[in-house]
Amino acid sequence: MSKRHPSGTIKKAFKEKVVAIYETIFRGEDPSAGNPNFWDEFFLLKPKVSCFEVELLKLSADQLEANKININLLFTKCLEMLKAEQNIKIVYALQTMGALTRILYQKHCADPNFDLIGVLVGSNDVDRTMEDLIKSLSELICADFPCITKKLVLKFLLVIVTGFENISSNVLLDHFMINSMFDPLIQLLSLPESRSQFGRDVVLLNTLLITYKKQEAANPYLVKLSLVDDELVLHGYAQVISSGLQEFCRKYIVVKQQEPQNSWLSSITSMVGNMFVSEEAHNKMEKLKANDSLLLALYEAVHSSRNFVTVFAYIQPHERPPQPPSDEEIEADHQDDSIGAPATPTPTVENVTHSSSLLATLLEYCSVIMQDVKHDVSLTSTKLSFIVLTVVTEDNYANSLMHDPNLVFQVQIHKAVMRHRKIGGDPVVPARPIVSALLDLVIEFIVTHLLKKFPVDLYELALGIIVRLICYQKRCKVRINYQWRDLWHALFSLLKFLQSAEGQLLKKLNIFPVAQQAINIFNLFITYGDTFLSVESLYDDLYYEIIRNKSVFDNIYSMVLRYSSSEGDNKEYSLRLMTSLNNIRSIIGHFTPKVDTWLATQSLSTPTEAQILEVVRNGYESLTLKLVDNLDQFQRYTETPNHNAFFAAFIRNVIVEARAYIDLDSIDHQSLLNEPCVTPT
Amino acid sequence: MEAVAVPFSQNTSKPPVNDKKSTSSGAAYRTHQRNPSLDFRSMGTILPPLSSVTQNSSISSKHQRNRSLDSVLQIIPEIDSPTQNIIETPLKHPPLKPSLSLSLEQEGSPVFRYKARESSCGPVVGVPTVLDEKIILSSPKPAIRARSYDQTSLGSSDSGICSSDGEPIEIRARLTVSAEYLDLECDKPRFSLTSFEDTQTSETESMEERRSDLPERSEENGGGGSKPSSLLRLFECTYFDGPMAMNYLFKSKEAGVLSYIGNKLFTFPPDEMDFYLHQIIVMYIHMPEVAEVIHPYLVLRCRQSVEFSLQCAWLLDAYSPDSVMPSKKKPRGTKLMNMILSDEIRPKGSVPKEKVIKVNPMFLNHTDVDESGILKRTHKRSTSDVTGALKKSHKRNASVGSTKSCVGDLSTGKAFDNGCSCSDSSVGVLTELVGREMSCKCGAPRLLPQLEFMKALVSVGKRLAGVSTKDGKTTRLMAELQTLNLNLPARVWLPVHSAVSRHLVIRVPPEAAVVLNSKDKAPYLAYFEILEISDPSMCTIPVKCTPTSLRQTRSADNLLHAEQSVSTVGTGAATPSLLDESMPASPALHRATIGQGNSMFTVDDCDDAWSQEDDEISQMYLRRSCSQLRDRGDTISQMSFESIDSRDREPTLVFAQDIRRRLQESIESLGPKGFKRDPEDPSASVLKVNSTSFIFVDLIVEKTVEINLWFKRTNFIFASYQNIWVFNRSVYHA
Repeated sequence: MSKRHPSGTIKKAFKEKVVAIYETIFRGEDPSAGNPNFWDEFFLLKPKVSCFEVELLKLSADQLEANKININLLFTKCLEMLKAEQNIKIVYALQTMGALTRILYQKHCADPNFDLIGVLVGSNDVDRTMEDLIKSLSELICADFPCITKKLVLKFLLVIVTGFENISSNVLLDHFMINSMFDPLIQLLSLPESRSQFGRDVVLLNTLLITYKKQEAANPYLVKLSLVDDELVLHGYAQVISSGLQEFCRKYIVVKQQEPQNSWLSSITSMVGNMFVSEEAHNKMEKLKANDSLLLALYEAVHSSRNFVTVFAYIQPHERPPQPPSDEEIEADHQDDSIGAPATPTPTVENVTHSSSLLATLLEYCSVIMQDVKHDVSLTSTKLSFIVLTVVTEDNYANSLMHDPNLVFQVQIHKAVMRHRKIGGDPVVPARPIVSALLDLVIEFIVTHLLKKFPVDLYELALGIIVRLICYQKRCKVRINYQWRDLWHALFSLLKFLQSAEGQLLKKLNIFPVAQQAINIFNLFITYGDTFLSVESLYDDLYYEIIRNKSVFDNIYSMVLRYSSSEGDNKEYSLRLMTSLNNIRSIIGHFTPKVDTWLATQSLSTPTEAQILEVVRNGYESLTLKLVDNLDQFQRYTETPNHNAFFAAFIRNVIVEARAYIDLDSIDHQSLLNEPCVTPT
Repeated sequence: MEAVAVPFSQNTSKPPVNDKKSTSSGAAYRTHQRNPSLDFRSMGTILPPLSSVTQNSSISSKHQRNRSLDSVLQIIPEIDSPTQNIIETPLKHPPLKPSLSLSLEQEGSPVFRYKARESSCGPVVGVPTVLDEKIILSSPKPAIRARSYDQTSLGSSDSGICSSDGEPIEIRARLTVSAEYLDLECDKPRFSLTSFEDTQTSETESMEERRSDLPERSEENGGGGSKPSSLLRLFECTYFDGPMAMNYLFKSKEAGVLSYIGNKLFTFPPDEMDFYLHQIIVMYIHMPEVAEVIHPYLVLRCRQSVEFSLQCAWLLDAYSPDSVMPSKKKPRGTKLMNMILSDEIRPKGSVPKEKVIKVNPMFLNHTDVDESGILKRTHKRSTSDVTGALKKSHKRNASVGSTKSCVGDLSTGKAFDNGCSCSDSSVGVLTELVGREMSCKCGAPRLLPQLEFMKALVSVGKRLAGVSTKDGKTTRLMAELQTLNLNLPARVWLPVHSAVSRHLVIRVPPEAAVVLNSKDKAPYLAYFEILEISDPSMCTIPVKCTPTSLRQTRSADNLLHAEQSVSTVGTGAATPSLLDESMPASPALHRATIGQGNSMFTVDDCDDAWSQEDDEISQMYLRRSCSQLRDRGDTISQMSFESIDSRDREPTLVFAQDIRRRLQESIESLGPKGFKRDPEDPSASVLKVNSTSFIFVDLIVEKTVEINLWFKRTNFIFASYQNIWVFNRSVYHA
C-alpha cells in the first residue's frame, strides 16, 4: 500500500501522499502520467476527506470549470472502482466521490450559475453515467457487501439528495427518478440486522426522494411506497420510525426523573430557566429536529400507503426480539424443573416494558414535544404530528384498530408542569385502547395551548381529530369507555379563552371556525349521543355540564351577536356560529327555569350534582332540538392547497438537518482493513 | 393433567362417514350413554375378542393366564371409575420419573395404562389388555371436556367392536368357534410368515403389494401342512379388523402370529390405525417383539405422510421412558424418532439421491437443533454417539449469516419455509394452473416447517412466563403473535383434529388472543385463521392477504360468491361429519347460520373492514334509497343526508327525550353481553364472548379453531375447537 512511486511531486516533507495527489489533480495535471496502475493504487490510499474538501474549496467556480476534465476523470474512476474486487477500494472510492459531490453542491449553492453536472459527471453521456452509478450503488446495497460499504453508499446518496435545500431543484435527482432505487433501499428494512444499521438512513433517503417534485409529476418512489404490501418491509419502516421516537421519549423521561420533584420552587426555577435558552433546551431542539425527518417519513407513509395502516398496531419491541431459547436453555429448564419456574433473562422483561406500537409511540412523543410552547420548532413538529393523526383518524382500519378493546397499550401522556396544576409524577396509566390516549392527548393540547399567540391551525387540527373520532364512533356505533367530561371541560375552557381574548386574537386571526368546531362537537354529543355514548347517564352529565357552564355560552352568544350585527369580515362566520349555538341555547333555555323552579320549591340555594341531574333526567320532555346539518361530515384532509407551504418549509428544515449529520470520514478503518481477509467478495 | 402429555388427539380422527360399520356405532352410542365412564367404554371396546378367548381358555389348561384375565375382565363392566381400574391392575408400572409424560399416579386424570410385558409366565395375572384411549383434556372448560369425551366415544364406536347387541353378537359367536381351534393348535406356530428381516427388506413395498401378498402366503401356509388354522381363518375373515388386530398384537406372544398381524396392518384403512397410534407406539417402545413386526408398517406410513411422521415422533418422545441409567444402547423408540426427525424416512423415489445430499447440509444445522432439543429430555446423559455428534454439529450462529438458513428465525418472515422450490418450477406452475396438487420433489426437509411452527408456539408460551405483569403479558403475547404472523401463511397446521379438517394456518389474529389465568400451565389462548385444504403437504401455500387487501376484495360480488361457495361446501363431502355429531349443528343448519351472518352483518362488523371507498359508495346508496329506509331506527343520520342546507329550509326537529330514550335502549340492548374487559383477567371477556358465538368477520377465515396451548416440557396438548365456520373457499382456490 505504501509503495512509493515517482508520480506526484512531493514538495513538503510531511505532506501525505494522498494530499499531494489531490493537489496534483486539482492543478489540472494528469496524475496517472507515467504510472498505468495509478488509479488502482490511488484508491488503496486512505482518503483524507477534510483535506480533499479544503483543497477543492480553494478553487473558484471558474477554476473548477477549467479543471473539469480532471474532476470528471476522478469521478469516472471512482465509479469504476465501485465494481472493484477489493472492498477497500470501493469504500475509498465512495468516500472520495461523496466529498467531491458535496463540495460541488456547495459551490453550486453559492453560485447558481455553476455547472454542477458538467463539472462532476461531464457534459456528454450524463444519462448513461448516472444510470451506471445508480446501478452500481444498487448492487452494493443489495449484494452481500460489508456493512461499512452499504453505510457509505447511503451516505453518498444522502449527499446527493440533500445537495439543495429546495429538493425539487436538485437536478441530479431526475436520474434517480428514472432509475429507481426504491426496491434495493426498501429491502434493507426487511431484515432486523440491516434495519437497525441502515434503517434511519434508508427511511430518510426514501422520504426525501418521495418529496422530489411530488406535486408536479408522478414520483416513482411515492407510487412504489403506496404499493408496498410486504409486511416485513412495512414493519421495518414502522419500526425505524417508532424506535427513533421512542428513543426521544426515553431520554425525556430520564431527564425528567433527574429533575427535582419539589413543587412550586422547581416550577419557578424552571420558569426562570426557560427565559434563557439553556444548553439542554438547545440539545433538545437538535434532537427534535432530527426526529422531524422521522415524522415526515411517517406522514408520507400514512398519507400515501394504505397498507401502512396495518402495521400501526404492531407492537414494536424496543430491541430485536430475543431469539427463541436455545436447546441448552431448554435443557436447563428441564433440569430446573424441580427447582421452580425457570429464570428468564431480564432483557426480555425490559423489552416488554418498552415495547409499544407505532401509534402509541407517536402519541407519547407528541405529548412530549407539545409541552414546549415557546419554540416554533416544537410547534411545527406538533403540527405535523397532528396532521398525521388527522390522516390516521380518517382511515377506517386505523380507527378500528384504535377502538379495538383488545388492543390495549400503556400510553403515557406526559403533562407539562403548570402553575395551576398539581405537580405529581405522571401516574401509571392502565393499558387501554389507543383512542383513549389520543383523546387525552388532544385534550391536553387544548388546555395547555391557550396562548397569546394562539396556534389556531393546531387547534383546528386538534378539534378535527376529535370530530373524526366521534364520527367514526357514531357511524360504527362504537361505544368507548371514556371520561367525556374531560373533553367537555377542555372545550369550555377553550371557548372561555376565545371569548375573553377575542379582541386581541381577532386582529390577527379568525377564531370563529375554531369556536364553531368546538360548538359542533357539543352538537354531536347532543344530537347523536345515543349512537356512541357508553352509559346513559353520560347524556345527563352532558346537559348538566352545559347548564352549569351556561355563562360560557351566553358570552359566546353575545359576542357572536355583536359581530353578526356589525358589517365586516366576521359577519358570515359569526352567523354560522350563531346557528350552531341553537341547540345549546335551547337546552339552557329549557332547563334553567326548571332548575330554578325546582330550587325554589325545595328552597335550596346550593344543590348537589345528583339533585340537578335528577331534574335534568326528568326534564327532557318537550325539549326539541334542531338537527344541525352535515354535523357528522368533515372535509377530508388534502395536502395540496392548504399545507403546501408548511411542507416545503418542513422539508427544507429536514434537509438542512440531515446534511449536517452526513459524515463521510467516520469509518472504522480497523474493521475495513480486516475486512478483505474475511469477506470473500 | 400431569399424565397426559400427548401431542394430539387421535380420538376424533375417525369420522363415521363411509364407515361400513355404522350400524354398530349406533349401538355403541347407546352403550356409551348408559355408561358414561370412559374406562368402561374402552373395556367394551376390547370385550368381544377377549371374552371369546377366555371362553376357550377355560377349556384349555395351557391358557391359565387367560383365565385369570377373564376374571379380571368380568369385573370390569362393573367398574366405573378409572382409578378403580388402576387398583385392579396387579402390577404397577415401574416407577417413572416425574418428568415422564406417562404416569399412573394421578387420580381422575385420563390415564394411559400400560402393562409391561412380563417375562415370567404362569399364574401372573395378565393385565387387562386395555389399550385405553387417551383423552386429551386441556380445556379449562368442563363443557368442552365433556365434548371431547363424546368424540372419543364416537371414535371408539366407529371401530365397531363395542360390545353391543345385534350384529356383533354374531361376530362373537364366530370368534368363539375360531378361537377354539386356536387353542388346539397354538402351541406350535404353523404360520411360516416372513421374519422381521424379511419384512424389513420389503418395507418399501407399497401397501397394495402387501395386500396382494397376504392371501398367497396364507394359501401357502394352508397348503404346507394340515388343515388351515382357525386363527388364520379368523385373521383372514372379513371381520378381522384393526381393533382386533391391535388386541392380538398386544396379547399374542407367537412370533408367527405377530408377524402375520404386522403384515396384516398394511391392509387396514390408515385412519383406523391412526386411531390406535398411541397404543401402537407404546407397544413399539415397550414390546420388542411387537416393535419388530410393526416397524415396517410405521416406516411406510411415515414415508407416506408428514403428519403421521410427526405424530409418531411426538408420541415416541412422550412415551419413551427417561433413561435413568446411562445405557449404551439407545432404545428402539428413540432410534425411530431420530430417524423420523432427521427426515431419513421420506417418500421413496421422490428424491434423487444426489439432491438429498446437496440439500441437506443447508438445513442440517436446524434439523439437528430440533432433534437434539427433543432428545435432550429423554436422554439427558445419553452416551449415544448420534446425539453427541449432533451436538457438535449444532452451530446455529454460524449459519445465521447466510440467506438460506432463515428457518426458525421468526424475524425473517420465512421461519416456516423449508425452501421447497417445487411450486416455483415450471411443472409446479402448470399443476397449479390446472388446479391439481403436487407433492414436493425437491427434497426439502418435510417436517421442518411444522416442527418449527410448534416450537414457535411453545416458545411464545415460555416467554410469556417471564413477564411479570398481566398487561405486559398481553402486550407481549400480541407482539409474539404478530411476529409469528409475519411468517404465515406457511405449510403448517395445528396437529389437533387434523384428521377432521386438513388445513393450513393462515394467520393468528393477535387481537383475539388472550393470556389465560392459569399462567404457568396454559399461558395463552389463541385463535387461528385456517384454510381448509385437501392435503397440507401437497397444496400450494396461499398468498398472504393483508387486512387492507381484504378490504379491497370485500364487495357485494364477493359476498355473493362467498354465499355460493358456502353452500357447496356445506353439501359437499368435505364437510367433516364428525362435527355434525359432536355439535348440534347439522350441515344445513351450519350453512343457514352462515348465510344469516352474511346478510345480517351489522354496521359495526362491516365498517371495521370496509374501506373509505365503500363508505362513500354506501353513503351514495343511502342517499338514494333513504326514503325506503326512513322507517328504520337510525333516522337522524338519514335525515342529515336528506337535508342539504338547513338555512334554506325548515330545520329538522328532534326531541331530546327521544335521543335519551334511544341511548338507553341501545345500551340495554347490548345487555349483559357488554362484558367489561378486566385488565387483571383479560381472558374472561374473550371467553365470555366466545361462549355466545365468536365470529371472525374475515373473508379468508374458513374455520376458526380454538386451541388451548399447553406447554408441558416439550409436549403440548391441544383441545377443544369450537365454532367451525366456513366462509369463502374460493379466495384461495380461484
